Amino acid sequence: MSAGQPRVWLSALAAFENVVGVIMFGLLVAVVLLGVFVRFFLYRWTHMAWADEIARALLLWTSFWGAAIVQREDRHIAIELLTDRFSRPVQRFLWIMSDLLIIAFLLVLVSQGWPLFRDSFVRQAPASGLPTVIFDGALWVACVLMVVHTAIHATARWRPRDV
Amino acid sequence: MNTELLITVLFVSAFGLAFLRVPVAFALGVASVLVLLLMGRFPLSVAYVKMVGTVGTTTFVAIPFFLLAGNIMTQGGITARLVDFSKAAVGWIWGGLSQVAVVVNMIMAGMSGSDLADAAATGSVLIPAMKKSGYPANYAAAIIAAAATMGPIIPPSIGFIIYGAITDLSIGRLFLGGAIPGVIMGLLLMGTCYVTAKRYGWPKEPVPSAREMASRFVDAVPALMLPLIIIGGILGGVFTATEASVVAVAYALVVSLLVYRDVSLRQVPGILLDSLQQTAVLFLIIACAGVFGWVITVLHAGDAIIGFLTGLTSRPWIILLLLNVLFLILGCFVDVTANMLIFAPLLTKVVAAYGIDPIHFGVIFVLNLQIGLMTPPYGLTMFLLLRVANITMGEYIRAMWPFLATLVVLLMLVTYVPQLTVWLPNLVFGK
Repeated sequence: MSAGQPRVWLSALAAFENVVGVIMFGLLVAVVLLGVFVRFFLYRWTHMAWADEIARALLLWTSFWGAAIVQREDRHIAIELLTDRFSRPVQRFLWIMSDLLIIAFLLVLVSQGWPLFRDSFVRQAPASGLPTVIFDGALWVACVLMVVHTAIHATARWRPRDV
Repeated sequence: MNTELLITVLFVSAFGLAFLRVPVAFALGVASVLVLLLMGRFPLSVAYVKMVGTVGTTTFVAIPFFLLAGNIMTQGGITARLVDFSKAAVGWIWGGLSQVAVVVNMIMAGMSGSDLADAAATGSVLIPAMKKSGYPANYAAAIIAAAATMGPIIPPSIGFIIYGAITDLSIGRLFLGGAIPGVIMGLLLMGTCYVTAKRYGWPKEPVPSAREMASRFVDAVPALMLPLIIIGGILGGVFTATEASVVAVAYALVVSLLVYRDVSLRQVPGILLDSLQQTAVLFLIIACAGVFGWVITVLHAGDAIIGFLTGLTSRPWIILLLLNVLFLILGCFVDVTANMLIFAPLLTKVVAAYGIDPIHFGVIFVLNLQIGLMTPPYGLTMFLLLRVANITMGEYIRAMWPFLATLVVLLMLVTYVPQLTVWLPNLVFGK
């Protein structure tokens, strides 16, 4: 594998995450807009019982998928007031410790959420009839993505030239 | 391990990790999982279930839409038109551009519901303009931070949506409860700008001609219609919070794409991606704070806090004062959303015991926490504006005091004159 290959894969992953994120957010806007339109103007002829359920599912997916994108950018809200006063090596040590803690937390969610995630493919949501993975799957997938991004950050902080 | 020790571990680890640069959401999550492990009574899968359950709340669907509406307004030229209009309307009063900052934020507050969105939108336009006109950069940042606080007080409001969802209160009533305090906040801040500018002799804009005034007004009419539609819709009982948020997005998109034409369809994915990231930052905190709040509940930490507070006094006005002081301090250190998810369920029980109107208390609580956004050490609006104005925190703090004092005066007014918050919701929705 050439030195530039990981970078290409990471760029491809970032582009994929962005495109999927925008599509999900666009779908959320479209579903809720349609739901409101139907409720106001077409309520005599039709109703969208599934709209609320799909909107909630899309909110979960956009929130957690977006959280993975923000983690990739290392932009989740953090208080740097205290650590900014430390020397660079101490800051680097704290960042890496923070990354490792985050990975441990995410792995707890991945392992503990696995049975729910697996079973959600066979259970059905009440209104739409879709598998409940539309609710329960978002966090699991996002946690896996966040583990990848956090590990990349930790590596970059440990050996800045490698990534 | 005994309960007191577990509660201590929960809070110390969450605060400790947050101050060691672990992102706030993860600090709450790690502390919660740690205490769940120490307790050993519950499976760790509870954390996963609570995170999903907290975010998947129907009422929260409105939040991404208000953030999206704010982004469309900024990039679609709506903010710029509002600034031009406000310059003509109030820029000639003592305080000039700082008066403009207050008025623009008041109008923006009627559309977006987020102080961060409003601060980003108005700060990027007004801080460079104020510096160019001779205002100190720290003063410019401080007035915009204070004015942006109106965002979640004047309806619509993301803060009230979260508070209402947690406490099962009517969001429409909370929205209307914030309307009068929001307007008073604007007037008080304008008064502070007037006095400060006169004292330091800061410049004001020339008085516009009638023709110029009319032209800027006409140009701003499509933008000014949006708060009227949203607030009118909520007041008239036509919209729910979610519907109002959708109308805000649709209207802002139509005005930006078709009327002002400052934004093209090609830019829409970029705006969606920005909004997605803002939504995600907020909701990861909501998810982790949901687990944290649940751990507090099973530890019965709330009972201890309620018992302690009710043991201090039996007088409602003293308990309100104590809560205000407590949350002014906590708001400086803990994220607004986390504060709400952790403490709102407990506090509703406390205020009910004292016979305090829940809508009244909701407005006090949200206003109090919003003030924390403009104060160090953990004020998100402050951080954002420090970057825009390119100043240090020390410089910002020197200019912040008059505005902070103004907001604390307002908080006291809202606390001790309940009619300011309950009169309008009772008028519209009945008692």
